[in-house]
Amino acid sequence: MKPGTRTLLAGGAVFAAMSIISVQTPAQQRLAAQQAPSGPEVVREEVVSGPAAAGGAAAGAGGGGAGAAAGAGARKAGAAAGAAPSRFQCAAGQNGGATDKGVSATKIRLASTHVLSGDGSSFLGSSHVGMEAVVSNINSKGGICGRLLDLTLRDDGWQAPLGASFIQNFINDPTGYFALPVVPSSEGLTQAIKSRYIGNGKVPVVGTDGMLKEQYQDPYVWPVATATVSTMRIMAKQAYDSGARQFGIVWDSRYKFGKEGAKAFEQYVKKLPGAHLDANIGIPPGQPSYPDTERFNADCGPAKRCEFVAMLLEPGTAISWINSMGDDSAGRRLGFGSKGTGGAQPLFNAKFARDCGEPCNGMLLWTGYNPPIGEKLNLPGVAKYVNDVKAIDPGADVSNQFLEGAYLGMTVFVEALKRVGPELTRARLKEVMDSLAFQSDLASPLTYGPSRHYANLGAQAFTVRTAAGSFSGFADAGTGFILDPSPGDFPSGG
Amino acid sequence: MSAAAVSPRRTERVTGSAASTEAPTVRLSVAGRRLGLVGVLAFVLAFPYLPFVPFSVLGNANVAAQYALVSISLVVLVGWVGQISLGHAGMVGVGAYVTGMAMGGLHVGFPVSLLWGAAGGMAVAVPLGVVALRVRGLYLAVATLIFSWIGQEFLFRQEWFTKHSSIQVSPVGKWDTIPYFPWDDRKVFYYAAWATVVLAIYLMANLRDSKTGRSFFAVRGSEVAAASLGIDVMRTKLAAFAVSGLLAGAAGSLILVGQQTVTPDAFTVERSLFFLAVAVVGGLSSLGGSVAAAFVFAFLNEAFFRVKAFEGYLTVASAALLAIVLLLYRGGLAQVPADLAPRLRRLRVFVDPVLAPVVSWTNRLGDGLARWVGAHANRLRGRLPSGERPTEVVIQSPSALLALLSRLTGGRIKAPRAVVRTEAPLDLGPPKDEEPELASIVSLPMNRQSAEPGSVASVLPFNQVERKPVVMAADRDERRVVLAAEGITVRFGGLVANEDVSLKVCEGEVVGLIGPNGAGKTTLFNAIAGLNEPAAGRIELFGQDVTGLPVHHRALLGVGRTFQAIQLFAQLSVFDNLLVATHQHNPTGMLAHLAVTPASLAAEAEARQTVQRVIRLLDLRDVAHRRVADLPFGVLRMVEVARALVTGAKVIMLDEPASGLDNNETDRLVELIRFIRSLGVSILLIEHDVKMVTNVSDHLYVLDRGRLLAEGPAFLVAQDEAVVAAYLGRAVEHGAAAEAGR
Amino acid sequence: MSSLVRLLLLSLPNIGAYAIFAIGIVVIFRASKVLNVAHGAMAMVPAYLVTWMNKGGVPIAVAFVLGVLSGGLLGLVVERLFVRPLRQVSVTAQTVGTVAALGLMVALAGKVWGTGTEKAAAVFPDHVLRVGSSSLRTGQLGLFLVMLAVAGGLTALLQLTDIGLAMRGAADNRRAASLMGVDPDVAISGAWVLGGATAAVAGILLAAITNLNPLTLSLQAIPAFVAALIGGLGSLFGAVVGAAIVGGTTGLVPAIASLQQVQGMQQLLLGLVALAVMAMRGERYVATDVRNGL
Repeated sequence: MKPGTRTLLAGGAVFAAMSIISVQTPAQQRLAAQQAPSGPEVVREEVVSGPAAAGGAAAGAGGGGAGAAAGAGARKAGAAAGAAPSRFQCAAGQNGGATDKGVSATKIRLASTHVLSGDGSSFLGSSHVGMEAVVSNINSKGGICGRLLDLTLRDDGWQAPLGASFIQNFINDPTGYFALPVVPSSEGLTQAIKSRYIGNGKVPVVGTDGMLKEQYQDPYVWPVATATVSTMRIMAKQAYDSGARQFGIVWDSRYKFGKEGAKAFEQYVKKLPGAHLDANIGIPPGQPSYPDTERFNADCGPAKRCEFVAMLLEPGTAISWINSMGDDSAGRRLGFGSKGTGGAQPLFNAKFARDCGEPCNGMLLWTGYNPPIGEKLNLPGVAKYVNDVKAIDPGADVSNQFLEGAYLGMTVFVEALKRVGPELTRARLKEVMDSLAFQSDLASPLTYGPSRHYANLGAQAFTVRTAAGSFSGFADAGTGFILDPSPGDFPSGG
Repeated sequence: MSAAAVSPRRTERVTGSAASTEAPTVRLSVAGRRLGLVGVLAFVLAFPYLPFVPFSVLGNANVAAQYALVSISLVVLVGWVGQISLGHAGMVGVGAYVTGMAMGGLHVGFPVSLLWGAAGGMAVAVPLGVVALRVRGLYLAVATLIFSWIGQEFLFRQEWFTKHSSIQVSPVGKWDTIPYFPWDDRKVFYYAAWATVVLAIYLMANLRDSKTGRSFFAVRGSEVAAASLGIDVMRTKLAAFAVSGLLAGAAGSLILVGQQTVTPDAFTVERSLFFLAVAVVGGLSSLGGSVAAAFVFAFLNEAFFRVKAFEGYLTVASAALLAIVLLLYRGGLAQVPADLAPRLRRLRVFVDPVLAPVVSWTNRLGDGLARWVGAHANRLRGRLPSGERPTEVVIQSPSALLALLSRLTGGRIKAPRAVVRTEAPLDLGPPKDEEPELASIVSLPMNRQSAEPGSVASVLPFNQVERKPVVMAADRDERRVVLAAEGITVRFGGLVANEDVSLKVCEGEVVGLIGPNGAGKTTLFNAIAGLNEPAAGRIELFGQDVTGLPVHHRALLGVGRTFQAIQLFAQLSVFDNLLVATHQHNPTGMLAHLAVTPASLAAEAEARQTVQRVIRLLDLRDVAHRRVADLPFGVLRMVEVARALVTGAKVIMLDEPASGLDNNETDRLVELIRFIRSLGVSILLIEHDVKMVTNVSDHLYVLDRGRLLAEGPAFLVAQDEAVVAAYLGRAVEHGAAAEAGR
Repeated sequence: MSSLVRLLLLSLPNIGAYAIFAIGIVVIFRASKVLNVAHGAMAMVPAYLVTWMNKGGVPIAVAFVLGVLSGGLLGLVVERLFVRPLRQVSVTAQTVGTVAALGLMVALAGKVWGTGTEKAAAVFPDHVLRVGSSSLRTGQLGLFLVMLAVAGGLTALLQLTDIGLAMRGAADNRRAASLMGVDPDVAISGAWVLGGATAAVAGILLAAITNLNPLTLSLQAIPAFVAALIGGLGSLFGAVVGAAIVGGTTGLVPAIASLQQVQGMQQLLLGLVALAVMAMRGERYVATDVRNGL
């Protein structure tokens, strides 16, 4: 395959992507318009090697000239990204063999920690299914440039020291692992980042899903999740845009997502003209009842109900909190906003909604992905996600956002590998990741830059619906992906 | 027997190996064994750089060092002093965060920051110890649990305390760092971590084999008994807390430096329980066991990293390990060598033929090496004390390092030692492996010539004061009063146990205190010893008012005692039980014990000699090295009296010493009491057995319902009709009935 | 209605749960002189069992009774398996035995039921009881009332009957128990059965108003240790008073804004109170019998 052919293929892929953008929701269009100048390349996830890419080119041709101008710009950038001289070809036996640690002619060795035992296994326990779904998909098509993906997963029990030491072991493995994709065990990863194992080892960690700020600030980590701080600002922005001025927040004071998110929420609300944060309460998780509700109600209670209340809690804590709330004179549960209540991604699950029941009716739950719910199921990317995962584990809960995040993270990683091509090195992977723009049905478009690893800036809301007092399902709130109003702002402290 | 081999510890080893004479056909020579040791040492030192050692194994070797240090810290507190801690993660956490503060805030470099961490751990352990002083075992367990809880919920979540939880370790040539060592490198850290652990083991082994260590064991065994021997129980506990906190803090420091980041989740209550599990699996009182258990738990991590099939069983495995050890193999890993040795010996028949050539080559190589090393090291000899006379007792330094050096050079390098003169060579009796009949081992020296007055002075412990048999004045009022209680009243709530009781013991007297059950004898006894606080009255010892003084102060003034329910230290040998009693005559302190100073060695030698003398005097040689818990009751009574004697007390209080003894044993006890009296020691005796008391006492006090009923010379009181009618009659009948029942 | 009263009202469920736990801890401690670290786990397992049975169609009342019985059985098993074999070693070893029991129960429950947070079966039909402008749920009030019943019943049982007296000093004074015609071993086991059953009551009711999680529920007993300690570890009444102090403090601290801001303030205050209580009481020396020394 000659360089010219490669450029042509890349151009075809861009065309394919542009054609999809043209049928997006208004929010996404706004987003695309914002990002088009800065985003060097936009590719669609289905782009695989050789033959599939040709299909993509065909699709691009069918899509018309909607993005002709953008495509031209993109082609230039694409040429730059793919400009490194390639002595090898993207085919088995001609890929250059062992181009870097963990890479051989037939294999790319990858490693990751995950959680099968201990506290986090309830919501992170199925993440490996998402990763394995992508891997088996790719391997069944012959791998990437003739190299199969060889993924090693290890359970670290969500214990930070153990997970960090596993990651350090992976980095220093004598045979070598090329990269660490996804790493669902966030505690260990966070510690490994703070301990500078990742930075010193210069090992790419692609597609992480932990949402904590450390992951967005390391030059070798590229998350796919929307940061907790972003989600909280988006939540506040949406509420403000719908007319709310009096805000309240209750957050988990034990775990870091609570502190980080609450800080960002507080800072953002204080900047909004006319808005004020009336209640700001951090609570410890796992109490039998919460007398703290009394204080919350003093600030945000029956006398002057807050217009918007954000709940940055884990499901169990949130249920105890809601149960400790009294009702107002109209019989409505206190602790909810008069114009809306928002929950962050930890609450985005059916079990929470079921356990909460009537009081949570109308509550908005936010996620950074397109969950397989309602109309979103019709999106080809989402449908493919569901099918891929069910093929690996028919019993997997596909609405688990951590599972979907792991799938997306692995997909992004695979995409980057493809774009690096046969001469696979960590340096080139970093180069590619640092200029990757990735478009899929699973999330808002991801745009990475050298000092911009907070690629996913969008979050959208789903409404909890109840019928006869019990949970009847989630409904799309129609917000679309709203973008973080102050991207890249990770407040210190917390 | 060379002088070096005379020290008791040394002798134990010699007899221990003598017992295994039947087994081996092939053996490493001494030099060969030294060579093996050098080989092991070389392996340990080269470990990080051995090509076949995987990176993950190295990492877990470092984790093992951290576990080992925490476990040693627990061994000191829980294993040796018996103070249970369910909150060690709290101390470890404080050590880690204080280290972070020092490194991040004050820019202290690594080796020095270890001291900061250790100090931090100590700073929280000591206040916790102060609380612990006031309470009993399980209250302490809750206190430490609460401490860990406060750490988990409050301290480790405060911004000001944890803001340096991530640190940059590599020092860049500051004054307090060793420049250009990348401490965050696993290989370099291995040396730092294990050097810390080895140093900790060295210091703790020194401590264990010293007066301080014995006072730890004594407090664990029985606090009242420890206090009665002059040990300050409070201070001992506090010292243990300080040492334990120091080690835990150092471990926290290592954890932070090894990981460069810590999270509060690493120091939770569950973690406290985990640390305790490591110590328990190690055997809870053994330093070597701690290291072994640390490796076992670190190996679990390795197994979970290596074997995919184990996934999901991480939490189950460590819980199961603790349960298995606790229920099925209580001695923990420390017990493995003892259990395994006989089996290995049996295997030798098959292994020896294969090993023979290897062994013979090693021996040759080792002998050659030893000669070479010895020749070169001999030049150092001039500086060290030399000359060995058979009339000297030599206590070798318990320091492992120096002993190792000494052995490596075939004794050419001498470990520092203390030389103490004795009149005669010591005889430790038959080796402990030859078990004598225990039924009648206690015979008393009165049957022998050794009790003649002339030899008594030389045989008595700590005879700073000249002692001869006291010539008592005929009139009691002219005798020197050594112990006096005046108008003692003791109340428990509304119950009056003693009311206005006065008694005195004069020099050289045996004073009996009798009365029916519930008369308040033991209460009075405890008031005199300092265990009860009297509501009114005054107690004098040797003319000094001691009414408010704690038990150990009174002991230091020269009062010894025994207990109705025997309070020997069950886990210690008879020899060590008596050795504890030398506590008050050993002037050296904990720091001297840690550093094994010559002064501490000299004091140790003197203490051992004293115990030797008493053991010979009371003919306890047959049981000297047996664990107290394994001995029959009659022997224990004698040992307890012997222990009181070793303290050098001038008054000994015996609380129902004859209870539980048969006639034969009681007769011996009477002989012993008379013998002690012949040494010039006064005795206050509580007894049920009226016949025995009147037989042995000079003076009798009769107590009834908390009041003094009668007093006088024993023969007069025994004949006093009122007393006989009212009390003794009953008591005598009772005693006779009890005897008939036997 | 003043805010203070409302806060205390909201503290009732906490007080109830801590009190039942503390009572069980005290009953076990008094009989066997063992600090039962596994108490929370002995509450957690029956709570899971009840939810599991209830999901399987067993009516909640039946499931509750079976759950309490299973708690008693669990107490017996823990005592026989992890405590009694270590009696000859030391009290310390017995306490470590309960640590092992805790670890095993939490780990195995995690394997069987998952480590996630589950909704537990509700014991009382869910209603909101309005008290002024504040409200309390039936489950929360129920927990408090059950606590009163448990405390009253146990006090009557232990103070007024021979069984109670025998249990009281079974570990300290085996002879006394024997003289009363009660086998001290039976008395100790009985205390563990009672302790296990009360733990189950607390666990089931507590899970019903919060949720099920192997570790969280097992560690709920820690504040109860504090309560038992403040109450002196020796009396049921003291345990209830201690629980009231602990529950009340957790309830009132959030009312003070400056304290609420500091994370872990409740635990700090309670911990310090408990340590202070401990520092002010206690015997100075412990006598150990040579035959069962450490």
